[in-house]
Formats: sequence, structure tokens, C-alpha cells
Amino acid sequence: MAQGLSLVSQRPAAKATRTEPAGDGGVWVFITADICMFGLFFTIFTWDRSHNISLFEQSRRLLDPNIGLLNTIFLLTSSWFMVGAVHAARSGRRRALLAFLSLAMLAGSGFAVSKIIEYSHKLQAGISMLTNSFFMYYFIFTGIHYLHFLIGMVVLGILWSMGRRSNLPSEPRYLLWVESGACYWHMVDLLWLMLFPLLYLLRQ
Amino acid sequence: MLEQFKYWRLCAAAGPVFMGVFIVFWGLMGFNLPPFSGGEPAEVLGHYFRENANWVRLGMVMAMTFAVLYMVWGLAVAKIVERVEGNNNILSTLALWGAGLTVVPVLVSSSGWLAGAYRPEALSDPVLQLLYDWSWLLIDLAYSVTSVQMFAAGVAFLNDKRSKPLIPKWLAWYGIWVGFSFAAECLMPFFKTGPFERAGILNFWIEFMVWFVWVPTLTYYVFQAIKRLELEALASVPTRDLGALAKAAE
Amino acid sequence: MRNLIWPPEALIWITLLGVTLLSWALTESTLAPQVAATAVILIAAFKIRLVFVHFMELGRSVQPWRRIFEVWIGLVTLVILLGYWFGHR
Repeated sequence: MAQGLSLVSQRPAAKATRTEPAGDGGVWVFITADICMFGLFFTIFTWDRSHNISLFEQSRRLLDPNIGLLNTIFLLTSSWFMVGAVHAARSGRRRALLAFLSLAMLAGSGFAVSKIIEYSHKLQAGISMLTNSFFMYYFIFTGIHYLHFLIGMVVLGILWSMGRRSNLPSEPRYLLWVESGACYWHMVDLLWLMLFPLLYLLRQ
Repeated sequence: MLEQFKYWRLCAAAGPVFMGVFIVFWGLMGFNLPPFSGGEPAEVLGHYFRENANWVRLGMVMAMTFAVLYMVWGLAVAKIVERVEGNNNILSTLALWGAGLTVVPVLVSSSGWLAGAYRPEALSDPVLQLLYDWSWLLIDLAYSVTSVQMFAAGVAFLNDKRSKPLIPKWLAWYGIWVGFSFAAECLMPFFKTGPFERAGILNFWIEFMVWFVWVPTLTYYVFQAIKRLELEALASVPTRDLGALAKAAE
Repeated sequence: MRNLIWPPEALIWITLLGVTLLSWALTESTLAPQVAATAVILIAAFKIRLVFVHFMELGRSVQPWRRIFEVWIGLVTLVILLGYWFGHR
């Protein structure tokens, strides 16, 4: 218990000169591999687009930037709530931690529902990943992102249910999981921040 | 007792041998590196089998003979998992079966290409194309068998309680990531051109490369771990028995 | 709810929302498409940096991760902009 408290009290003060990333170092390998993969996705999209500008522009106009904007707002807000969750965990405030995790999941559900609505609109209009290259990228990249998002929601749910158990929030291992989960969640947000303009907003 | 470390090392060495054979014989000689695009017409496939029958035969014969080495290597990995998994053997069993069953799609798909090369002059182009397609669909979509090996090993290594883990955690995470990334192969049957088809930059080059990085890297750390475990085992033997052990090992 | 304090980094969140709205407005604006598109990508890069520096806490001494992310966003932004500017119909 004492060890947990000393870890908890060390963190905020040491933040400015900390050399270790928040969370488990190994999760950062996973996160780095994921952003590299998406970087490759962005590159492939850009290359294909540069050879098929009219097709991509025509297809882009069939996307609704308002839904895209809403999706971005949901994810940014969810990310922000996770920042609150990490800070609550570090100062041992269990109720605040659980509340922030719930709020993060709530905002995340907004994204989940909105994307399902968006996909069904497209599918009902007869547009699928086989329609043309633009929609191949649209469905596959946002789809893979959506899978990452769903995994993240499961992680948040697990953190919430673990956090409900009495002395868990003051354990250093649990804190590490909260921080790692938060970093993964921020990655999900960060990837969408480039996916959104790349697919929806590049007017030619 | 020291024998186990000798055999263990031999098994671990099977990994790089498997990869070497796979790249040279299956890949280069068998014209699978990269594969023909799904968009190629049947005539191209027919011509390829007829013109290169003997090369393909040789490539596939070697690939089939050495495919089993992936399982042998997988055993070396699974035995490291055994040392870190605690009081049950679920993860090491999953890791071993994952490696072992990975051999099956390699064997069966290689037999498909071999069948194409056995008497191509008597077969029509579409049939030859089917053999080629089927083999590729099998080898790509069997990914989840290998993913199970990577997840089981990865989870076990992450739970290693030693202060300096036998296998570094970053490599465990990398293996788990590769296991997940294989799922992109699910898109392969839907496309005959572009980055997601069987010869595409994502579903061929990236997927194979990320796996081909994992095997030798893990092999290196497996050898390091074996050395550590061997030193630990020797340290726990009373000195008067060491002489007898040394004699027995000769 | 008494224990629930406003999450930290509120200013960052407000900035992120603000520039997101700006991006969205730019696309439908009367600005030349190339200017709007370039601005939108640069804004995205700016937002991504805010997230990894402030939300993910990648301070300057957290290496090699900070450097990896900086290089990543630099390359991604460059590739996207080059592709946009030098594409052929």
C-alpha cells in the first residue's frame, strides 16, 4: 500500500523531467507499430489519389463532412475524459476515475453509433468497399480504425470494472494499465484526426 | 540433464533454416516472391507452370520437406513459454499447437503448386490458375493458426515474473501486434488488384515482412534465454556432481 | 459529482475543438481548394501534435518516443501534401 502511495505521489511532480513514457513501455511498441501501419495506409491512399484525382474527388463528395466532424468531436472529447481518468488514478480518486472512464466510454459510444449510421447509409445507397478505389480505402481504413476503436472501448470497460474493486486503484500495476489504456485510446483519436481530413476534406 | 539444452538449441536453430529454405525454394524458385497478381489472366499462369515445371517441382519439394521445421522451432519457443507460464501449461500448449498446425497450410498449399507443375501440359489454363489460386488462398487465410502461437507466446512473455524477463516485453508486444495485423488477409479474397490483393503491398509485402522480422529476432532471444537457463541449471547442481555430469556429456 | 473536477488540459481540448471547427469551415469556404486543403492538413498535424505532447504526455525528455512521433507526423504531413499538390488528373 505504501509503495503504491509513493508511486502515486511521485508522478505529478516528476512529470516535467520524466524520461519514461506514461504507461507500460511495451505498449508503446504496439502503438508505434500501429501508427507506422496507418502512416503506410495514408501514403498508399495519397499515391493512388494522385493518379485518380477526379474519381477520388467525385467519390469524396458523397461523404458527409458533418458526420465526420461529429465523429471527431466525440473522439476528442473521449480522449480528454481519459486524461481526467489518468489524473484521477494518479491521485487515488476512485470515484472520479470511474466517472471519467464512464464519460470516455459514453463519448466513445457516440462515435460508435455515428459510424454505424454512416456505414449503413452508404451500404443502403449501394456503395461498398468494392465500388471503386476511393471507397475501398474509405471502408477498409475507417473499418480497421473502427476495430481499433472497439478494442479500445473493451479496454476502457475492463479498466472500469477493475477499478470498482476496493483497493485496486492504489496499486501501481493498475495505474500502469490505466496509463497504457489511455495512451492506446489517444492513439485511436490521433489516427482519426488525420483520417478525417484525408478522406473527407481534401477538396480538389 | 545438459542434453536438454543441446536439443533445445538445435530446435531453436530450425527457425532460421526454415526461413532460409522458405525464401529460396518456396519464394524465389517457386515464383512466390512475389506471387502472381490476382488480376493476371489464366494464360499467364498456364504458361508459367509449363515453362518452369522443374524449377517449381524442386522449389516445392524442398518447401514441403522443410516445412516441419517451423514446428520444431515452435517447440523451442514453447519451452521458453513453459518456463514463464507458472502453474499451468495452457499457453505453452497453445504456442506449440499454433506452430505445429502452421505447418499444415504450408505443406498443403505447396502440394497445390507442385500438382500444377507435375503434368501442366495435360491441364488447361483455368485449372492451373485454380491450383495456384487455391494454394494462395489457403496459405494466406490460415493466418489465425499462426496468430494463436504469437498471442500465446506474447501473453506468456508479458507475464514473466523475472526482474529481467527471459524474452523482452517489447518483442512480446511486437509479436502480439503481428498476430493481429495478419487479420488484414481477410480482405485478400475480395480483391484482384490494389494493395489488398494477394500480391499487394499490404497483404503480401508488409504482412510477410513483419512476420519474417519476428522469427529471427525471437530466435536470437530464445538462444539468449537458453544460455541463461542453462547457467541457472548448472548453478543449482552440487559441485561434486558436476564432474560426473561433465563425464556423461562427453 | 462533488469529487469530479474538470479534467486537466481543458485549454488543449478547447483548442482542438476550435481548430476542428475551423478545418470543417475551411473546406466548404470560398477559399481556393489548394489553400483550404493544405490548411486542413496542417491543422490536422497541429492537432495530432497537441494530442501526443499533452494528452499522451510525450515531453521532450521522453525519448525515443517523442522523436518517433515528431518524425512520423512530419513525414505523414509531407507525403500527403506532396501527393495533393503534385497529383495528375
